[in-house]
Amino acid sequence: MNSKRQKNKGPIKQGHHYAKNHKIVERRMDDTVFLVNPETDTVLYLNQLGTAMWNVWTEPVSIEEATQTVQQAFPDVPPKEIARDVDELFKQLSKKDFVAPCD
Amino acid sequence: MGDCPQRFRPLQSRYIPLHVKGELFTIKGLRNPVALINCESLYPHLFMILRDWQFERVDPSDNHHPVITIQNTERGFQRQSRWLSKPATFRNPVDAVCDFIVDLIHAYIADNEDLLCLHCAAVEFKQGLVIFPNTYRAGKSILSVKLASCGGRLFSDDVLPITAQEPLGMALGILPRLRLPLPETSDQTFVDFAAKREGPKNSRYLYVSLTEHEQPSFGTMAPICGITILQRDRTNKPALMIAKKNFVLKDVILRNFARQNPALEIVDRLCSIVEEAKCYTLRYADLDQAVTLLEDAFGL
Repeated sequence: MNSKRQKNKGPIKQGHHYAKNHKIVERRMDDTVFLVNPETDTVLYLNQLGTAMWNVWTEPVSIEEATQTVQQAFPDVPPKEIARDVDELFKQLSKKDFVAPCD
Repeated sequence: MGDCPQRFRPLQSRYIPLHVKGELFTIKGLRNPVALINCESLYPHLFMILRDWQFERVDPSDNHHPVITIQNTERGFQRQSRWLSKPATFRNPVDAVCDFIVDLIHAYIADNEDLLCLHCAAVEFKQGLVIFPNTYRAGKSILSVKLASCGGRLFSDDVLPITAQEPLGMALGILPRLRLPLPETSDQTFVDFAAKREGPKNSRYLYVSLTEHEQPSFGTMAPICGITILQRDRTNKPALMIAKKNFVLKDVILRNFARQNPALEIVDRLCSIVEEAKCYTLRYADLDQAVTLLEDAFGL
């Protein structure tokens, strides 16, 4: 999955698929995921949305697909709010190489 | 979602003089000495506040590389160290010592690489050590001194080193510091207690010279049995509420400033501590309420 992983320091690219960095280590406490990137010695803790997304992030996914999935899961939450939260999640994850574009 | 800070920035060495005139002191636990230049007026405060730290004069003619230098200048006590991007200057000697302690702790942690170090207060109860992670103006210092006045043993009011093998909190033997004036809600017994143990002070701060029974000596270890997040609240009923461990873990990761070890090791060690500890949020308005609730949970 990560053989094609690219260095990702730019903004989130619409339409591009992002894959998990396979070197990331997860630690779980209650319902929260804490991610550790041993390459950069960075720790990231995920909120409820981030944890839910991370749990189902088995295949590369684009920001549009992720937004759609979350909207289906939470139909009562305004779509704009979901779009903003997913966008923020992708930015946070890609900034420190927890995920990277793979196409 | 949050991002933990990176390791310390690259060390700045340009401010550390290679050859120093003045007095050099080795301090037990540090590899390199500290240089105090024309700082005799600091000594009474320094040696009293750092109650258990063993200072020993060394020959300044030797080729020492001080890790911290304080020089008494016309503008005040000027400190240089690798943890400062530019020199820090304080006119008041108590302020100068207070700020020096920040660098001293950094130096101690840097020279004792296995340690974690949490920004928190820590008090030993009957059940073990309870830590109070730093929260802005939540009152960890005054609460820890209050607990010491009620039978607890104050390990620290500000930072707590934690050992690697079996996670044990370590007392630092540095006097606790109270902000002045004391809160109006302080009861007379506590005000008298603080007055009887008055240490170095200035208009803003009072160091409390606790006895060895109230504050164990440098290097005393105790297992961590509890983590309590402090929450000052004058509107709701005081309560000791079970805290979610994910919230507590996030908090202690952010409070750890010893980042010389790999992030994964740090997270795993903190995970283990949080998993073993009883985790609470303490909502309180005055010190007596807090002591009662903590005593019920952990025993004094």
